[in-house]
Amino acid sequence: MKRSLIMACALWAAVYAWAQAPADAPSAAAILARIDSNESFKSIEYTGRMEIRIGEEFRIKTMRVQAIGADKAMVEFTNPEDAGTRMLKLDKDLWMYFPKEQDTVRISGHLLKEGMMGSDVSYEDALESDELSSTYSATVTGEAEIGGRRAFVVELKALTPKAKFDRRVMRVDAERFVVLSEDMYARSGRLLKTMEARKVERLGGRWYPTVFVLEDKLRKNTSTTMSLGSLVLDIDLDPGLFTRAALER
Amino acid sequence: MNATGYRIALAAAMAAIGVATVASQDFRPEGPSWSLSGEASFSGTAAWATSPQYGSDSALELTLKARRPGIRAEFSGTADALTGPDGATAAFSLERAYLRWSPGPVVVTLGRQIVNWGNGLLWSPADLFAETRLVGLSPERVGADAIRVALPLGALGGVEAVAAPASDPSDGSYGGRLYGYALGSDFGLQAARDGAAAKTTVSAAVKTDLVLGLWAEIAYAVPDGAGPGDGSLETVAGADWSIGSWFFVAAEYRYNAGGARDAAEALEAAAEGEAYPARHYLYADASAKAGDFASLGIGSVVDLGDGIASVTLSAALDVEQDASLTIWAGYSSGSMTSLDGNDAASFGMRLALAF
Repeated sequence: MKRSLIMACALWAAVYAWAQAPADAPSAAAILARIDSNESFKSIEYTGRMEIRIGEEFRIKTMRVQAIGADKAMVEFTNPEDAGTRMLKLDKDLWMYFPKEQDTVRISGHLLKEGMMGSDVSYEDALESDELSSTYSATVTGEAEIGGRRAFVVELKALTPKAKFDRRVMRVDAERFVVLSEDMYARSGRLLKTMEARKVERLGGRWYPTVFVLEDKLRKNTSTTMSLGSLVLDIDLDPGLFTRAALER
Repeated sequence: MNATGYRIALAAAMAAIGVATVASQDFRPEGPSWSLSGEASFSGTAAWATSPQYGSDSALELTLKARRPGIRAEFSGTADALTGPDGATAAFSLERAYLRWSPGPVVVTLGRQIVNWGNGLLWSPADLFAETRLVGLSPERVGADAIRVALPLGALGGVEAVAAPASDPSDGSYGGRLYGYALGSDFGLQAARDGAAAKTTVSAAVKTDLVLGLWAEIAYAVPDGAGPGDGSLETVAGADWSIGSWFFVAAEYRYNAGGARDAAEALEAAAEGEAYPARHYLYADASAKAGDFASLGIGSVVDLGDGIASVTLSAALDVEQDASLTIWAGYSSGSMTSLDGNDAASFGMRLALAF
């Protein structure tokens, strides 16, 4: 009896989601594939500016980022206070180099969930490398208008407990297939983070968010605006950049 | 405790103020031009101890960094104005002054630099070229005059050769290191020959993360002419743990088999520059966030064998973009170097500005 009830509820949910989806919407899987295709790259290089707002106060962090695929990345902070501090990401591991102490420290465990350099961006956010389509199941649940642009509302549910968030609700540009805004939830249903794209640019035949705002909802009255400048995709980067030796250079 | 009065020990306090700076610009690390950055800080420390003495230290520290692709240079020095029962004196110390050149994968560093080979906080026997010391609130490594050549082995490993020559080459120190990452742990194997001290030391260090961060180091020094069993063993083990991003705690234990057994031996070792001459020590620190721009901390060093302890309370404030203020107060139940039991108290402040 209990099993029948669960199946009936699941069937009802599926029918409801189908009924809510816009008639011309591609399938959720197709939308995720388009997002993955749009936002994945062979390599990337940019200068970043992180504007961290805490109440009425602001702190600015600037950096240069180079990455190959989703598994190798090198970040060097260039603002005066953190100048020379570097981060090396290799697969799921992260090392930080502190120039004053000439010390290299591996960031691991729950520290990965903490805000990077006091921002709303966690080390885990920076490390996230799984494609959405391999980590979440998705359903198109409706349509919305974000900043004057038509967007599909897509709900993602984690397929694995290792996923960073249990549930995500995305508003995806219906034409460009860029995530315009997103809410990220814990298993308890608590809203953990929000993201809002403020600027989307066309780069080499694809659309890419170059300014976006993240809010960690576990903190009070904070937000981090990340701006990507001088962004180039799919350039040749020396693999030797992504080594501990380069981190400490 | 000597009840006759209070003496000032030059052990800790500070008052740090001020700092002025210049500009730096072009922060592109790999751009074609030089990028410049630095930090200036002014600090002051005052201390009292249980005999009629006092002391103070006002220090101005300046760090300048310049870099362009393949080249990096850093200079850091401190000017101190010291006062005490014997009057006032001035001192200057050069913390770091080096040039780093990295043509391709090889990295060559020349000058006074921190040769950081260990993971320990206050004690790091794996560091065969860099001593650690407690400066103000935080342990830090001391620069060594050396030539260092590093070559990567794979993505996370490498080998290094270091030479710290002396006017008589046979008095210099020469060593090497192999390091890497395996089974979720960072490890390093080191060896060095110290000509002036006439000894050869081998050491190993490992650091891993099992919910707790854990590290251990061991070093074995063999004097010239001694048998393999006549060497001296030093080891450190430590752990750290944090709750969210608001609380962090770390603790470290040090055992030095060759440490002083009494005050006379301690004074002898202290005269040779050993800040912690005894056999068993414990170091611990904890810090907690107090809002988005402030944190509170407590640190303690305990000489377990002699029952001497020091504790320091601190508060740090992120005053403004690139500016920070730290204040602290400390108490010690005796001297870690002379092993006397005279109480001492200190306080200080430090203001730093990055540019």
